[in-house]
Amino acid sequence: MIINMEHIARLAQLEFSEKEKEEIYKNIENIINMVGDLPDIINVESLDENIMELRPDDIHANKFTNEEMLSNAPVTHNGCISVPKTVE
Amino acid sequence: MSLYKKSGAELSKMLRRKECSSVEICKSILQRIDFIENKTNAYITICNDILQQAEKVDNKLSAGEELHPLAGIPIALKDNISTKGIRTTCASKMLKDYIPPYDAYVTTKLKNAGVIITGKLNMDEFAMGSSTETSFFGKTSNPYNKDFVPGGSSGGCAAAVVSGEAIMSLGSDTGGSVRQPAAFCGAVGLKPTYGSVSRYGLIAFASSLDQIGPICRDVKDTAMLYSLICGHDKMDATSAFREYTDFGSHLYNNVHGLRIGVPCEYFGNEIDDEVKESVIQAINLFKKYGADIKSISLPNTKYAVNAYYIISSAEASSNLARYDGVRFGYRSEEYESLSDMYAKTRSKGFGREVKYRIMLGTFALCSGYYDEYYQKAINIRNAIRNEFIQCFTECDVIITPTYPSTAFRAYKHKNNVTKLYTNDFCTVPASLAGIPAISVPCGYSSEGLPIGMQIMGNHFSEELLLNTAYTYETLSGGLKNERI
Repeated sequence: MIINMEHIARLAQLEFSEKEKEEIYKNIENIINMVGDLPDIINVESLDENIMELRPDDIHANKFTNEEMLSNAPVTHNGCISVPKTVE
Repeated sequence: MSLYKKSGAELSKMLRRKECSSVEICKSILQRIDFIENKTNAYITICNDILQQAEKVDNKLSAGEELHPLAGIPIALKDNISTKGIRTTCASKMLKDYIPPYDAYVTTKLKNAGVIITGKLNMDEFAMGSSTETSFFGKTSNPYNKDFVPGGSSGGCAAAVVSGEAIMSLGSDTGGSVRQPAAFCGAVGLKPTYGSVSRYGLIAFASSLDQIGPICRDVKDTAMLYSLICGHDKMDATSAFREYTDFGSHLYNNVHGLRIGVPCEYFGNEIDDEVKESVIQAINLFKKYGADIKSISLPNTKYAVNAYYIISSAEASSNLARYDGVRFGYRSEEYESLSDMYAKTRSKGFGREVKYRIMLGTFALCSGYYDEYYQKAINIRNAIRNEFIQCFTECDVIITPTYPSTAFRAYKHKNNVTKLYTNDFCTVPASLAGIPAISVPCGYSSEGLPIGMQIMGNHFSEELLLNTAYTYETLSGGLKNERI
């Protein structure tokens, strides 16, 4: 099986330098080959017991201040999170 | 005896009898940290208000207030459990400066009980690993021998409690991350039933597997801490609606008539002889005291590791998509566009092991491979769970080694990632099935390193597991902790 690592990396938003690619891709290929050894078990009883009870979408008053919410953002500007320009 | 050497249960009694104060306990812990932390590197962050927290508890106790048994006891948390105002890094460059604006459910529980939070403990980056070597903050050492790993991913927890830098700790277990470091360091580690402890505020790795669990020096402390953190929480949709007993005060010492299953798949050639012998000796001790030992077979065990790595990595690839350098966490210093910023942030912010898992997970969920990998893994997971449930009709608990070997030398598996993965085969089946499992020390290797025995039970059978472990600890005299 030939795996298009560049494609997987693009989907995962990761990039690797030319130098590290050889080793990293080889290791990932080894991992994929290892975990791929799986039998086809069919007719297994599903575990979908639906035990989760979802809470209703209640609206709660925001318990955080704007300042608190932005305190971990890497770059802010005028009380907003700032990102590089996306539209020309 | 120095206070840091005592168990949580002992200190709790002493506090109530006014034989010591919480401030004295915390001073003893702080002195111990001063003395040994540069050898263990168990902590990422040490809280600077430990004595103030302790003073508050002392004041309440002197005023005669009725407090939780663990009030005033110093407990440390794995650094993936959110603590308001205290940085929570997941041992990653990605979150090295992240300060949560809220407390995890378990943190709130501890604080409300008056527990003293001493700090945040080292771990494998994003809990991915079994040696605490992948931390951005450097590796943690095994308290028994600094050249050996403490296990992982909750390696900081096991190292801290065993070396006396905390009385108790909370870790997290996705595929063995509480049980295996407990085994490597001679501690007790409980992975509770999936759904019994809320993960609200636990930084997600693989949501269908993650559970928070205690790592302590003995079974009684483990039971007490578990009792404090279990319970329903509406903030975690997988949290079970149940009433729980007070596990710490109900421990009994009796295995008469207990049906113990011993699965042949866990005692093969992959297991070191010394480990196998220790666990078999422990099983024989149970037999001597009236337990009924049954040979059983769990044939799907051999597929557990592969299914586990596919499922956990698939979930991780999705959970870790949030780290994009926009709202919180690290952002790359250089980038040309928004998409370039995402890729550079993630490539510089994550370590290599995390990238392996994200790549594997992305692959397994990719169109064209999904049925061949993810769906097959899910089917195997169901088969493993059904196999366990079937087994628990014939036996009450299942006993196996926790890990095929004792602690290994640091960097031993640096160039052989898949070897480390395959060694998880004793712990991942319980994770996939969602059943509880506890690791208890059951001897030492010829190198003087601790060996762990794993006891698994049916869903929500924690009481039985804790009692079985407690009985073993009592009968065997417990592992004399020589590290503190």
